Amino acid sequence: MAVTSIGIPGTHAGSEALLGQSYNFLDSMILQVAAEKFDAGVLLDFWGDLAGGGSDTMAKRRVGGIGWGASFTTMGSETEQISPSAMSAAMDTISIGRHGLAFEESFTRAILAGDGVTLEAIAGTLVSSASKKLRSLLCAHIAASFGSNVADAAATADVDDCIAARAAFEDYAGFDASVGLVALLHGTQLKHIRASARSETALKFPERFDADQSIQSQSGYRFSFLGIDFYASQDITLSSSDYFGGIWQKGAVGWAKASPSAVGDIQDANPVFVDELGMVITRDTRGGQATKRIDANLFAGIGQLSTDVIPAFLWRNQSA
Amino acid sequence: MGIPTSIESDLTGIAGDQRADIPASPYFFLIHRPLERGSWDLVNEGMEEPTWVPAFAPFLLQAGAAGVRTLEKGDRAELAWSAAIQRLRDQGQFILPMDTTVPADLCPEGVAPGSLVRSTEVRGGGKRWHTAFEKIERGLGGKVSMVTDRSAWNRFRAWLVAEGKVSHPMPAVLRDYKEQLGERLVATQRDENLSDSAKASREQRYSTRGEQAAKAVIPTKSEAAPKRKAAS
Repeated sequence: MAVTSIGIPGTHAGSEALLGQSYNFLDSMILQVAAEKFDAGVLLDFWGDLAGGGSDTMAKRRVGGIGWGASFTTMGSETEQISPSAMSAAMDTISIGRHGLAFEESFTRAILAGDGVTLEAIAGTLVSSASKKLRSLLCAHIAASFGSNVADAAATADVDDCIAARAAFEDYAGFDASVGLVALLHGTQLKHIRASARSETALKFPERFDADQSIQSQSGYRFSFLGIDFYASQDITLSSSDYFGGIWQKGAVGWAKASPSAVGDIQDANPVFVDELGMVITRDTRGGQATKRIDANLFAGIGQLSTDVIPAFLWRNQSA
Repeated sequence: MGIPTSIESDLTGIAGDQRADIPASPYFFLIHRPLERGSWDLVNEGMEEPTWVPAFAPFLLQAGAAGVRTLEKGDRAELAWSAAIQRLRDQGQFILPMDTTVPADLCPEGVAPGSLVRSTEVRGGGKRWHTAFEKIERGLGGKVSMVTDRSAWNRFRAWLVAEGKVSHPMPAVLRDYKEQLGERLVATQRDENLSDSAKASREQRYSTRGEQAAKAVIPTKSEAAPKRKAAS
């Protein structure tokens, strides 16, 4: 580039572009692009660890006809023989999958960078990424496995859907009212419910209005209504312009993992084991190509108990 | 040469990556749950008269969810989902065959006949799988979303029934649908907390749909009598 005169007197405005002084980040932190911060783990039971189990699928047995489900027969006489009762049994299963996430950079980039965007810094965010994967698995599971639809599939979500959903649990034989209900809907479904609530005079008193319409106070959680804790995620499946949200009693849906520390000796990969999540982070350095990378493997899956055990319903609404 | 005074507002369509900036999604089956509440939809859009059509939910082939497993390369693909799908079948659920095709006269305008499930390459890598009735559309702020041709989707679902690919609904399911509508209508009429305008529009919505449900038809194949009256 040809040498250019700055002018007299030399001003910042005159030299700014010429000397590449347009920006100075100083110690300003790097901000992440907005992303959904919602750990679906709060909605899931932990069902177990498949490491060393010999299978990628775990089964949970269930039985009927005993305990609260068994009724004594009043005998007709002092000596009448008691007829044995039948026990029924079945099982539910959960399969884990392998999920991967990797980042890579060249030695040159790593040497020259002064921006803090390093592989090591990214590795620290992988726990959040694992939570995001559990969330998307949960949403996929709801669309695939939740049966009866309690909402109005011919309209957008509204207060009537909330009442119908609540009633569906009351209708469920054996409903244990002491255990809480959670709904996981798309954010747009929640928006429609809030809009509907504005038409309900009983819900327009300031305290009630604030409770329904206030911004989420914790990740993913929006508000409680009719004894249901409402959560929202953009990961809820949208198909044929319908949202496939769900509502269930806590305990109906769970997750399982396989602790990767059982993998054996992989010290050459400089591993970091996060057994609590079923995740292992390894390094792969290629001197010949002057690159380094981190690979995260997550071994986890989502499953559901039969609605014979704990009720769960689909919440399908039109998207608009 | 100066800067043109009028240029295409979305330059990516000319010079950039034309793949949509929308998340990838896995391949899926469509499942119909004939025994469950809400397994049939009452539709008008695209139909000559109110019609019952089967509701479908997407079963995403996502390992780690709903019993789908991770495969080794070379394994038969069916191993990933066969156990999960068999369990659904054991529960009386119906899985639309993967080789289901959409005839030309049922396709949305501008969509070629062919397989029901199709894919579009997305900018972040991978594919977005969707039905032939969905397309990617650009909206506010350049945000892209999936839009469904509901008329064509309804006609296709009616065709599945008329062709015998999906069995007719259980009377109990339609009866439950009508009962649910009736309960909502009565609750609305008795709701003294609802604003007048909201009450009126909601009553109208439920009563109209109730009337439609009473006379809705189940699609049949016969051209002379294209639709059969539903059992009341």
